[in-house]
Amino acid sequence: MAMSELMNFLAQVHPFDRLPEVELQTATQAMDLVYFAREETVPLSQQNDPYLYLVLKGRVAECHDEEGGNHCALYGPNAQFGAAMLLQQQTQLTYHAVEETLAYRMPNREFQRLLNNPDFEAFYFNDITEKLGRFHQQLQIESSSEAMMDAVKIAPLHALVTLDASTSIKVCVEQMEGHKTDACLVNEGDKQGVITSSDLLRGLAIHGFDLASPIADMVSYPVISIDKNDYLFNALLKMTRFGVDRLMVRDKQAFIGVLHQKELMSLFANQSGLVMLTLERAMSVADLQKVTQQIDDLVEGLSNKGVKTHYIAKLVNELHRKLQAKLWQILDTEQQFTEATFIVMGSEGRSEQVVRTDQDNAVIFDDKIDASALAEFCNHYSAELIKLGFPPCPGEIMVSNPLWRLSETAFAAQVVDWFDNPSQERFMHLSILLDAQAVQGDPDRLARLKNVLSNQVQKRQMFLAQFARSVLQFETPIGLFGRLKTQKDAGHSIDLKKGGIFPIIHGIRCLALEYGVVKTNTHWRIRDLINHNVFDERFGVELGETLNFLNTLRLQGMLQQKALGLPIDNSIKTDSLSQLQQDLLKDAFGVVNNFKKFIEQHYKMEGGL
Amino acid sequence: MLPFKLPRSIQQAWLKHRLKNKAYEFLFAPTVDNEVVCFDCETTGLDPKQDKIVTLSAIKIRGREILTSESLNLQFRQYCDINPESIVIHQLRNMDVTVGLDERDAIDQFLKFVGSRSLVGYYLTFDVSMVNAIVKPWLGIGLPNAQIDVAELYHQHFYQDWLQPDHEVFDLSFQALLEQLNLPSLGQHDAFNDALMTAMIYVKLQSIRD
Repeated sequence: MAMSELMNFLAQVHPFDRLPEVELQTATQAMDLVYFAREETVPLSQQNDPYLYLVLKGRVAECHDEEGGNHCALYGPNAQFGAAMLLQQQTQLTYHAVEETLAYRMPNREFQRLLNNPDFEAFYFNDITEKLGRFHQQLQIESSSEAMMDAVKIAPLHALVTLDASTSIKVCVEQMEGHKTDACLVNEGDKQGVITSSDLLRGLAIHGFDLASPIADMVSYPVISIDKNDYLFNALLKMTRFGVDRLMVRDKQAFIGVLHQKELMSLFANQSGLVMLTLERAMSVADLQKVTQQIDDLVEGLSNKGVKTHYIAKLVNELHRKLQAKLWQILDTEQQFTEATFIVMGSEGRSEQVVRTDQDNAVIFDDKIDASALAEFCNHYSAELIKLGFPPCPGEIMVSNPLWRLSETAFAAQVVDWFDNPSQERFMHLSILLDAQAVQGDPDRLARLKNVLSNQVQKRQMFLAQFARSVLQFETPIGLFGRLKTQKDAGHSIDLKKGGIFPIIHGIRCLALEYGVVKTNTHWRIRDLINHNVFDERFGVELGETLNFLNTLRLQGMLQQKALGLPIDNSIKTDSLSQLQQDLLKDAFGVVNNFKKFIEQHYKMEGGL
Repeated sequence: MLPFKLPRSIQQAWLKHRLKNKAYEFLFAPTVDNEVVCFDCETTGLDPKQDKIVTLSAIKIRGREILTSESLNLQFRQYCDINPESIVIHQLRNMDVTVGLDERDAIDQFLKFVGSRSLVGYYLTFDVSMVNAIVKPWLGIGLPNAQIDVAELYHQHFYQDWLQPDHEVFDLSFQALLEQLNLPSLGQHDAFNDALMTAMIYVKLQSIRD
């Protein structure tokens, strides 16, 4: 009770926040609060002063030599230092207070004791892949416990079918079929029981009942039920306890439906199932309008639940594509344009767009199609897409633009022209076309076009090295000693796209082009490149996880901006990040730098632009 | 009470003589170099004659190190209801204090913890008289330890006659001290937090003086 202040403090510091309360309690009892005047040296060494320090107020600088030169890190409130010395990863560090500082001090033996906790230890020893894995895991644990705290009534229930015990098996099966359920409530006098489809099967196959027999002998008693306002976790406990996978749900005394374990377990993904269903049934543009809102809610929900961003992105892009195809079909009432292929490019093509930022799309059509009728249709289509909430592309890379609405022959000629007369803009066009995927119409038209493209690359030896140069175009926002280089605005923001996302995506795109990888999603390209032995598994996984982390941060930023009604961009305010996120961000940019070096060597570029 | 102030050594000898229970002579042992004890009480009210201690926290300070790992946190069992106004301050309700130590057992622990070290506190006289209300009838003397009041230290250091505007009181509130000394204010007022903040004030004032 009395030391709760220390507990509160410690619970804010990562990775101490991962410790169970009992361990925190013991840890606080071993800690002291120490004061350092300005310029004072903080005693810290493996031998004589083996301590881990946690700053309560003030700032401490970490230096590589005794004189306080080579200043390489700064620790402010809630930051900790000393672990590197205690774990003998670094021994030549000195620390001094750059302003008056109050710091909690934990003896090494206590720190070593806490290291027995794997979550805690992971923070100090694991590389970025493992750290990130735990980060997501933790989010998922937190969120699944939240979902479990929801009430039973939010779960999808199966219809309640009530039968009399004298009902025949045949009628029972018909009723189940008719109501799309596999469990019924059975009344026998004043007793109530449950019959399930497996009970019926057993009765028919093993106990020799026939279809006309009454179900009475197959009913199980009593009814295991749960109130609709009870917690979902209680439902799960009940199922486990009674070894059943269905519960009858009560509203006061009456039964209202059946809860299945399958639905209970998949509550997370279910939201997406719902969207899919609405989409499948959509008959008009107005129906589709509802779907876009549902998709947005889904993104936010999944993101809060700690689902990895690239899974969210795949799901959302799948939905977006279905929606765009559906829109095409709804608008093309006369089926005039079935011989045109609608493609999405860039981030949509890579399935990496989560928040609808802009549309990059094009049409490749059969030479026989009436181009002017198609033009009219495409203008209408673009306008409807914008109404559905896909913002127009600022560069006019849309089907409403005749440059991106070409017959197969004309498109191929244009691609060749991009190679013959290159420019920065045309490199960009090549990039987004490389990432394209067909959404509506014959996908072979796109495949043939991509073939034209890769044939051009093979003919031109110097092309790839030139194409890859823009990987190095932007500086990675990290300093020599591992400090984040932020912009000088209020939130100390960093452009995540320029700083890390773009270099990874483009570098991987170049390698994919070189090794003939046809997949467009960056994570899948990385997987294929590992299989081609372009780099090893470890490096590839690290790269993928890093991209994921950067995209997750970007998504968080975008959702925040969206909620506040601000323009959506690729920046994140570092001030709003936790210490853990900042540390991970530094690690992530470290990986980006390694990848840049790899690309530089691979394409034998001579440092920078 | 004597009408004049005796030198501390004579005063100590006199108190030691009056000490009823010789088991507590350790209160007069030679002092431990540069160690003091900072303490704070939460009470049922503000009248030492009637009110009781609810919780007491004491923390050792060695030089500039506040040894929270060697702190003492005591809860006193209550036999009367706490004044509602006090409950609001320390947020300890009557139901929260039905468990705890008997006051003599608690103070016995406190005396052993403190030994002959100097006591540090904020408006320490009040806390000391709360403790003395228990100690005096029992041991025949009040706490013999030297006492350092951080409010007084702060006043000595910062109060300047010529600077002080007329008709304005020199602000000696706890909050003012923390702000002036640029120290963090810890959330809830409880005995431990108050003792810890007082200890920070003491350490900071010591470092300014050095």
